[in-house]
Amino acid sequence: MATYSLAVTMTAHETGTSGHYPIKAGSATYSTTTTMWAKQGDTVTYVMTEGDGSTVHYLDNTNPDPTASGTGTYPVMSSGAAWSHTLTSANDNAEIVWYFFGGTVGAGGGRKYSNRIVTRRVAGTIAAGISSVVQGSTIAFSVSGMAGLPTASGSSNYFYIGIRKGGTMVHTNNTAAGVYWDSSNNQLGRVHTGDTSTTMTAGSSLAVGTDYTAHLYHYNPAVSEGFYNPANQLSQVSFSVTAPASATGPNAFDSGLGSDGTNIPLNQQVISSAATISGMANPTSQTVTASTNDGQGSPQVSVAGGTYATSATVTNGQSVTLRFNASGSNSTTRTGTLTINGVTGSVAATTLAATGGGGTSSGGGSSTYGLEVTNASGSTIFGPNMRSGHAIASGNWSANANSSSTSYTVEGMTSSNRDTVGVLLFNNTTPFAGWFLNVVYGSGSFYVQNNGGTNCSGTWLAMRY
Amino acid sequence: MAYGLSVTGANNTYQLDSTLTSTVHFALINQGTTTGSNGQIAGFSAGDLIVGRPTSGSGGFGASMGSSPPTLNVAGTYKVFRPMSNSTATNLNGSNYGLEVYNSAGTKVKMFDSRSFANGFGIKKIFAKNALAGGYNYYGQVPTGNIVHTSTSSTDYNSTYVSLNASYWGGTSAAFNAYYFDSSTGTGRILFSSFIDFGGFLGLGTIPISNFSEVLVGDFI
Repeated sequence: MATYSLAVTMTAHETGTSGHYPIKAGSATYSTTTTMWAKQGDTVTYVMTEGDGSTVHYLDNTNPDPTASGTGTYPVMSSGAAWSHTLTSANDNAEIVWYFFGGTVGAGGGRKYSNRIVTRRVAGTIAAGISSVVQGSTIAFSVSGMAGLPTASGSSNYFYIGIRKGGTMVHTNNTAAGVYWDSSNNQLGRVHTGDTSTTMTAGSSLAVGTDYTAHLYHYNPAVSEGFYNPANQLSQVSFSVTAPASATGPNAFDSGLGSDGTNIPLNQQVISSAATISGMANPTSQTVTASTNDGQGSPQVSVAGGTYATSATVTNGQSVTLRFNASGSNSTTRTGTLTINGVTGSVAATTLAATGGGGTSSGGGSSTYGLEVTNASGSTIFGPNMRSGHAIASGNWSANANSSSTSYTVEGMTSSNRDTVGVLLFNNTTPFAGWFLNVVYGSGSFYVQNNGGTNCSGTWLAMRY
Repeated sequence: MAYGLSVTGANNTYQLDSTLTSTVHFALINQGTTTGSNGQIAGFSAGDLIVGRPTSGSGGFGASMGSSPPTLNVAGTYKVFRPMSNSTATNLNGSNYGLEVYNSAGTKVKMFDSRSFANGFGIKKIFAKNALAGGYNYYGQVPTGNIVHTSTSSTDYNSTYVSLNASYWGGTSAAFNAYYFDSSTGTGRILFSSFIDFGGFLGLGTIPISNFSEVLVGDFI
């Protein structure tokens, strides 16, 4: 049990005048209507000093009486003497109010010094909502059997909860290595008669251990560390702090993204199939990140059909879709990848070979022989050093969504002679579908591959040059 | 070959081969200029080759080949060439002599007639499918992989035409197989311009579109 001894210098407030016997507050901020709080079994002692050094008298109109050497209606002791009482469970120990006046006569004929000393017997039992809290998670504490605490007012009339590890107070607060309270911004939680519970968040790097205790304290101005002095403890509860379990999963999802693509037009946007994610634990929602092997192609991921972004959070049961742009170079493979907790799913897109496309041919030459036609101005309008255009065939084409057109015959065409035979192809459908088109050259014909979701059609002109 | 005419030009380029059955030389059937935006191209029919260039200055250039008749986005000059097998493309230069060549089709088809043209289109560059990267070249910002011609002189620049058969012009939102004529760089250059601008839709922004069929650049003579 604790013994508290509080030195009190009496207030110069003459008896018989308005406001006489003012309360001697334990703290102008934290204990405005109580001189000292204590618990059953504690002994409270007030060392009363009369302002002018005269005697100190106790107005014996309440019970229990303080220990005093004097007797009679107004027990008297000298200034500086101690007035004590040990709190019991008796009803009249719940709130003890003692009135004191000094021996010095005041200007009005009353006694110059007077005070009221209020002692409250408090009690409360703290409990934890859980026995073990994970770093970064929360633990709730509640107080039952709360007694002796007046209604909270300002910062006064609270119980305090301090956390100790191995008996040592945890003073670190609002940082990852410490604690966070929903009821304060310092290292102590608070409860009061209007709210008997509070929640603490364990910092993400708060030391793990099984030796944590939460302590319910009352305030007492007579001791150091008045908010969490062990002497002020009403009750305590043990708990543990543990590290979060390692994230696991997800299950393999590569196959859900679909197969790799080949003969993809340059720069074409590639959109994977939607893969459903499962098997994630600790937590069940994790971050999915999109990337490509060369860091190009604007890789993005969509979760559950939502907006595409470079990363997002996915939960078990949701789908993920990867998209990126194929390479701008021929015969180049770009691999897009989604990564969740180290588990990856990829789609590779290989662009069309330069064969039959991608080359550049120049004009005529400088020979001095062959067939030449000049116009009336003497300009050569057909000749061995001039590459002229010749029509081979023309027509209309059409290709349904995700399908190919029929083959169109072109005399002299091969899969690789774009330097002599080519096609000028116009897409007469919505222009926003045109980027999915791929002209595929073959021997004596070509066809149009429509990799988009819109039926397309247009005209074509095949030429030799 | 047992008979006929086969002519091969410098660098093994094709000139004539009467053993072919459907390859026919082009003849200039019409030419003209347009004024303002969306000026109409006259005399174009399906199967014709059309080349063009803006009348002057720098800027995006393309045709709306889906329109009837097709239009140019800015004031420009165009040339329409038609296969000589078409009856409207014969005897155009007023002469009554020269060389006439028929091919070896079952029903012979005239594949060349020197009386049918007084001008030519000398192809300087052929860009095969996907040779050009594409990009938002409405203002010529993406030259890399898109320069179809760098002029050697202002005369060269002004006589250079580009193929328009595959062109779509949708302004700043989309352009396929279109161009940016840049008269202010050196003695002039021409860039390929092909893109879709999705703006903020799904964060797609502007996507470059490479040429999905061949692109021709040449001199009109």
